[in-house]
Amino acid sequence: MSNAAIETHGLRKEFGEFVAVDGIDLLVPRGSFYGFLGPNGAGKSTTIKCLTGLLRPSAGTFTILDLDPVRQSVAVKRQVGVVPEDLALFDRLSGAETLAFVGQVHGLDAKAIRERSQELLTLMDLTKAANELVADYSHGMRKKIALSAALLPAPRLLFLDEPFEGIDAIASRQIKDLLAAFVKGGGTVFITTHVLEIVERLCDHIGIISKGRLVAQGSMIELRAGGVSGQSLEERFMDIVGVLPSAAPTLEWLA
Amino acid sequence: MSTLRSLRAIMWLRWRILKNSVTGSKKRDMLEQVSRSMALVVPVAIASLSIGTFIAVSIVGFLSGRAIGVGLLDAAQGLFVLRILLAVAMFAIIALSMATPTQSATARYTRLLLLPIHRRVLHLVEVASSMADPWLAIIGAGLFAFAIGLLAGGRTGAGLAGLAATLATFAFLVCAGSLAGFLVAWLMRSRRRGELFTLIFVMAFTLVSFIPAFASKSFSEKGQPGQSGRQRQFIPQEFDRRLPVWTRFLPSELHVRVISAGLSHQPGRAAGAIALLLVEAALLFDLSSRVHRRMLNSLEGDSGRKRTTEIKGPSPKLPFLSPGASAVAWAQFRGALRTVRGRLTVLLPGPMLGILMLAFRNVPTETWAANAAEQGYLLLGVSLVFTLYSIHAVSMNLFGSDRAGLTLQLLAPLSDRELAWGKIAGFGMIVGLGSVICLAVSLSVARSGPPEYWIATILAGAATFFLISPLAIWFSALFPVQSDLSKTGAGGNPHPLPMIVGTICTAAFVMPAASLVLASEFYFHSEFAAVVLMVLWLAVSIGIAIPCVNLAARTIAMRRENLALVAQGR
Repeated sequence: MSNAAIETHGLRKEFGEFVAVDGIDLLVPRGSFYGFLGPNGAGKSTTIKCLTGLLRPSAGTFTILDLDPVRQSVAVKRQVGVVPEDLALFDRLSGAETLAFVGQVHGLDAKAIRERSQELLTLMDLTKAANELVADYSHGMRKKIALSAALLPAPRLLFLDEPFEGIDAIASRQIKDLLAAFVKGGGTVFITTHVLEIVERLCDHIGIISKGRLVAQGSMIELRAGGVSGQSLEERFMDIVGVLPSAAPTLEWLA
Repeated sequence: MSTLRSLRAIMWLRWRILKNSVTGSKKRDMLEQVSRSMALVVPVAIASLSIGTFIAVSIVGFLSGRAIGVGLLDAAQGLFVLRILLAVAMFAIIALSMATPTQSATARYTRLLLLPIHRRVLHLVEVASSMADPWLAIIGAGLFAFAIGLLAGGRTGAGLAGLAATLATFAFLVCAGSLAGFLVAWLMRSRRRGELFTLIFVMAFTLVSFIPAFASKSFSEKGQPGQSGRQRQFIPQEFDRRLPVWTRFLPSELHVRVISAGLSHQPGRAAGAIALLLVEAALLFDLSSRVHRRMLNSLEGDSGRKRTTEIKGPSPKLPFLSPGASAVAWAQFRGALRTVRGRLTVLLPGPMLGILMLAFRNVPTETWAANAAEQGYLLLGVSLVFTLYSIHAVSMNLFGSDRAGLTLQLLAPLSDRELAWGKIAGFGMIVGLGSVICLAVSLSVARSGPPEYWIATILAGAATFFLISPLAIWFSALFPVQSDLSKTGAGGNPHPLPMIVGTICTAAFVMPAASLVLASEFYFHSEFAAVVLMVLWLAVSIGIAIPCVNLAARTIAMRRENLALVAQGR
């Protein structure tokens, strides 16, 4: 068993002439909380979709938990939980039915599904809405049920695409604690977010993608060591991505 | 000035949305590009037919007007036909305006409401855009040509009155259609209220369409030779006397009154009728503006929520399927039955044909139909075929109709075969439920016929379902379209190609079963032979379906990426 939860070599994804992901070499250690950062349109979601089997990479190789996701896709999916960009929920199933569906496809018995669902719904404060259709949920509620569905089968690796966007402060705090405990127990979290405070607080490893290329990767300490002393993560991120605030238009007409 | 600027901006927005929906994203593979191009075939065909109808109606209108003008056609008879056609068209336009919001995705106003655009401009744009309705354009062209025909026939006064009446009637129809559309759109702001409305509207519309069949009994009774010995002559004046007073204010009546007054040189009467038409149109415009404002103010959402907190366990595992495939089947079944299309598939075919059969019994001249109506198994067979047709929105788009739920299935630890068989089982459960209702209706309408034929009919339905199954997987994987099954029209439709091929194939797959029943009746002269033959046919169908579905499952693997993109609405 290698130390890597995710390892990619030259992972590339093209859509026609457009290169969304340009030969990236990711290395996500097992038991790490890996923050995957990048500006809008940098290729974060496309990378997650490639890693979770929703998109077929145009080139490159990769392993997930030492398994080949192309040839052993079902085995990989048994150990992975995903909260994708579009949340991937059936509109016409209730929250409880969504969890039951996920539990069933993961081969859990009825008792385990019921107990885990109950706990997750309580944690997410969705007990009262458990039997409502997802179509009637607010955005935050949808996000919570999607996260619950990802956690229900007790995966070893979690892919979370912007998981805290639209979630209230209380649930957000609970989820952060839960994810921290998950990592402490040996699980791996691969998270994309634009909120650098979350990354600073939770993540121990970071990868930064810009225009489809992986421009930095390493532990938080390594990443900070490369920059100017006393620099915030935001400033370091801007440095790496190559955004020069002085070069940006000043919009003088706005004044 | 600002109103004009806003109007221009909204027109441009609509044009760009239309253009971009046609050109689509270029980041897709060749098959998907071909699939999207083929999806344009149906709208292009409808547009071509509309243009043809537009020209034909204009010609007929012109010739009729001219014939009345030169005295070739009796004015009273001609105008009576115009009245009837106009009345039917008016109800059709209002019904279509009500159906439109239930068909396609309702306009997303939120973005526009945040911009500095006055609400009356938004209302005006909506009303103006309804003028592009092909039915309105066709009726408008017909009325306009009719008035021109009168002018060409030398009846200047009647022709000019007809032109003015055409404008007023057109304004009335535009405003009435808009009002109906806004009312329904307001109802649709609540998901549950909207779905309930759609269900009731479609069922009522379908069942009401059978009223003429029932009415034909009374007509034929009145026309019995014993009463008068000859055909009763139709007199328009007699018909008019029997009409209720309120019908005099219908635009069809007012329009014809204008022309009639023009023909009889009564300009005052014509002007009065035109003024009344314009007043009605103005009132409807004002009312539609109020409803439109109410619609914009109402929040999109749902009020009635279930408050039960008891968490039920997972659904039972289905025989012959893995737990994962069972979960897919239950999700498919539950998801579809919570949509308008799914409910219509189950609820409509049996009762609809049951009523049709009852109607046939009332028509003495339709002896073959009346005889057929006595054989309940025939009704069952036909309603099963209708069930298979009406489920095409689901069966020919098994993946696309799941929308974002498809991503959840693609992320789940399911093999392609499990996914395929789960989908087929879900499809089968919906057909099964619809079939039970068809059976109940058939038994209650006509219990006669040999029991062997009843059994053979059920087996034939099952065999047809199995033969369609691999096609359903193939087409659903190759031509997925993200559809909303709560829309009764274009918004809930699958790709046109699977719809057309699926329709042809369903008919083709029914043929062998029907031939076997005929063979047992006329060749073997044994009702029991029908059961034996149908059991064999069912076994053959299952034997064909199993390897074909397994083969079709490979298509899912091939098209997985495209399916995932469709699930995300790309």
